[in-house]
Amino acid sequence: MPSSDIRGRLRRGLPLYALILPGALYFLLFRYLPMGGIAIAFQNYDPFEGFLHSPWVGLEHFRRLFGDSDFWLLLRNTLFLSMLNLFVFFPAPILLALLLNEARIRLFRRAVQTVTYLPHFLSWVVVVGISVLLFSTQDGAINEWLVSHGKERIGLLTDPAYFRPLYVLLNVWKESGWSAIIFLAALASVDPTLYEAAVMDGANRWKSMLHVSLPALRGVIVVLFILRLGQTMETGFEQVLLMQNTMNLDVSDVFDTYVYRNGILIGEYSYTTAVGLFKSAIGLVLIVAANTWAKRKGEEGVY
Amino acid sequence: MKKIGMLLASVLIMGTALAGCGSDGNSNSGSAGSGSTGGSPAASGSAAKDDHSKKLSLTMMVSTAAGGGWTDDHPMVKYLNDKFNVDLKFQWVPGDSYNEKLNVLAASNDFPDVFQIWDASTYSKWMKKGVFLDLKPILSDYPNIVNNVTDEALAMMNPKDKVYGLPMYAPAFRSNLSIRQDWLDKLGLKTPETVDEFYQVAKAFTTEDPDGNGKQDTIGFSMSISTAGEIIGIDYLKGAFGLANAWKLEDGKLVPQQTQTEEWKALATYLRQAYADGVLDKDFAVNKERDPWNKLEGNTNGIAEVNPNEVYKQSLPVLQKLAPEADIVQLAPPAGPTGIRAANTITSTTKIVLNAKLSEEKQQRILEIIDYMFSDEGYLWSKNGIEGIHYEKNGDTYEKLDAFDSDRPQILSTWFIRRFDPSIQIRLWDEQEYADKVMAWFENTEPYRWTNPAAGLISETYSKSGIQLDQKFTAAIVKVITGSEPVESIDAASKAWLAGGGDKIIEETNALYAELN
Repeated sequence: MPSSDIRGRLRRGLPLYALILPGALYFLLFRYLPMGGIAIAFQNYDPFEGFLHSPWVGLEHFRRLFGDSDFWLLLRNTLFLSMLNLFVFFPAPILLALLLNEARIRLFRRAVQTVTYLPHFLSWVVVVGISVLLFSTQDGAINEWLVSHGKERIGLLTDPAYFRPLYVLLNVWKESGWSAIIFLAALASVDPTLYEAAVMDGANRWKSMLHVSLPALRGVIVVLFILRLGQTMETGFEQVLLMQNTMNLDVSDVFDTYVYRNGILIGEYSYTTAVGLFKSAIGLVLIVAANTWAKRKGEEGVY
Repeated sequence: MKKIGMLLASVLIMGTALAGCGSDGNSNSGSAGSGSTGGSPAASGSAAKDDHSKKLSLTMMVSTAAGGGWTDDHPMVKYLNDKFNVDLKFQWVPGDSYNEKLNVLAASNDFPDVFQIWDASTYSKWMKKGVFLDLKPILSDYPNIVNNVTDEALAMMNPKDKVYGLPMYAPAFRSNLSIRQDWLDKLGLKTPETVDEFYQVAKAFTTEDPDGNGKQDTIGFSMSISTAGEIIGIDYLKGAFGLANAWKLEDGKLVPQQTQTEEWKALATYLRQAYADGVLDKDFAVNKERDPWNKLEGNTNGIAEVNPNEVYKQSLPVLQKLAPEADIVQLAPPAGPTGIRAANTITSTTKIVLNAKLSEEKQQRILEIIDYMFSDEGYLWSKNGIEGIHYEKNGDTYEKLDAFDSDRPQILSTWFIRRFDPSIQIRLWDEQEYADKVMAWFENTEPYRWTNPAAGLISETYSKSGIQLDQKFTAAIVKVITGSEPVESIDAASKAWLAGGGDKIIEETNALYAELN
């Protein structure tokens, strides 16, 4: 290809490149440049010596992490919570969207949609605060009701057995309405003639949901699922931290809260960066694997 | 249309996913450090006395409690600004997150001009890094500071011949045990003298409906667990069962609380019963530090540690709205099986430090301000506010004005610069009778002093992993209390504490102790 041709194309593309520029700069400055900070995972970073003068220690922090007696506990808890997110929380908005799609009264549908997505705008501090009012053992509403009916108090917030169910419950309550919006958008784009054709062929509402609505959602579901997998090591730091207490630590301690305690409270910047890096690496591997698998199955994937 | 939905989905989710990834690498490179030698100020006397002709901008970071800090145009700030020709910028940081804030500032090595260090191990770590200014050479120029802090407190946690921080005073007995006298009277109970009687009373408070609402919704006592992994609010019980306040001296050697397994077992057994009977707050693991006291004020808890300064001005008025006949009185710590009585005893390890990077004129100006707040005049000012705005003088008596309550001019004297004086919260207009009542609490507690002989001695291993070790040890104790593990598991927890670094902590702390004595 002659060079003049390239130059010509460059000139024609110039406005487009200019449009990309702010976005590219943003990612460069705030997403790629800070990645240089990952280097402190291989140092004994000392803020008073600075980035350039801190001693390099190679993989020491990773060895410490994998050798830590808490490592398996953290991994187990993190994976458990994200599996709950994946298999219990993830289907919830899909279900909600399908149900809302079937609701024929417009006003009802709108009302339900609004009510279910409003909690998304509450911060976790508020949500967990409400849950304490409801679930605490001594003066929580539920326990007061139990006691006034002659039943035993239940340690809903402190008994490790209730931590995971409560975690998912709060998550579903807060986020499923909001997450359903994407699925509803996808459902709105389904060609109505498909439904008409299904009815002509004798499909009832259940069948048409199964064979028209759900396939319409498949692409979105796969994309979201892959992206979700990439967040396997993310368990919603704020929520877990707020719900955590000494009694449920065995099931509630995850990598994020471990990093917080050691990094922010104790000031072990290097070690916690190493933990964060390990987390991100797992996430990356899962995303690539899931994407490859999806493509092999003929789906579009995320890239 | 399907494409658009997909695109929308990917963009939305990618955005959040990337944001998540990005934040991992955030705590990166700070500016190159100031080097490890501590900043040393100009030799005393040689510098010309600052004549205040230049307006200086100063930053101060203060840890706050209820109510938060002042606005920049607060009359107290203006007063200091005018008096010392400065532009004071306060950073008010809530106490709960103060240490986090410090660690975030440390990550970029960007500290304010004056700030507090509450955590002794942070102080000792950063002192060695040269973050704080050594005040020793210049301190003699500020007689009000020197004369109003004790030499002992000034020397604590500092190497010989160095003063890297000014001590922040705390009354030894800020938290005193208290009980609902009206509940005792109502149920016809005597004031408990021993831990067994204490248990009977606490149990009656739980089961015999002392608030008379027909429901079993009261508790005997409560406690909480600190972020540093300690059980707090029950020092009177810990001491009674023979536990040390963190460390005890045995044949000249320091022995940590975590190795006192028999004492821990006795205490845990007691608390386990209390938990099972509902006498101990079932929500203790969820409690914040002040919750036991909040519950006392909320008419649901019968026994709690309180600060007498706040009992008459806050707790009783609040409580009497719910229960008009309520009365909170002091309770002497109950005697343990061997007769020990112990009260929560604080040895303040909080330091007020100056940034080592300060210019000479800033150092002087700041120390002048601090010196002023330690002086007779400045102490009156910081405790009571400004005459004519916050209070009035009528002949021999003083009268508080409404602005005192809305402006809260006293917060610097309670949260930052304190004279070594237990009456830091007694105001000009307080009646002598009130002052006496408050001071009586402190005096009554004095015989039960329960000191930590190793306060302020921070071993290197403790700085690094002490908090984690303590958290694990406490978690094991909590499991015993809640009944999910047998009492004997405390032996294993103690061994794990020692093996995980406790042995080293003992060795290092004893070495530090030997150095000082």
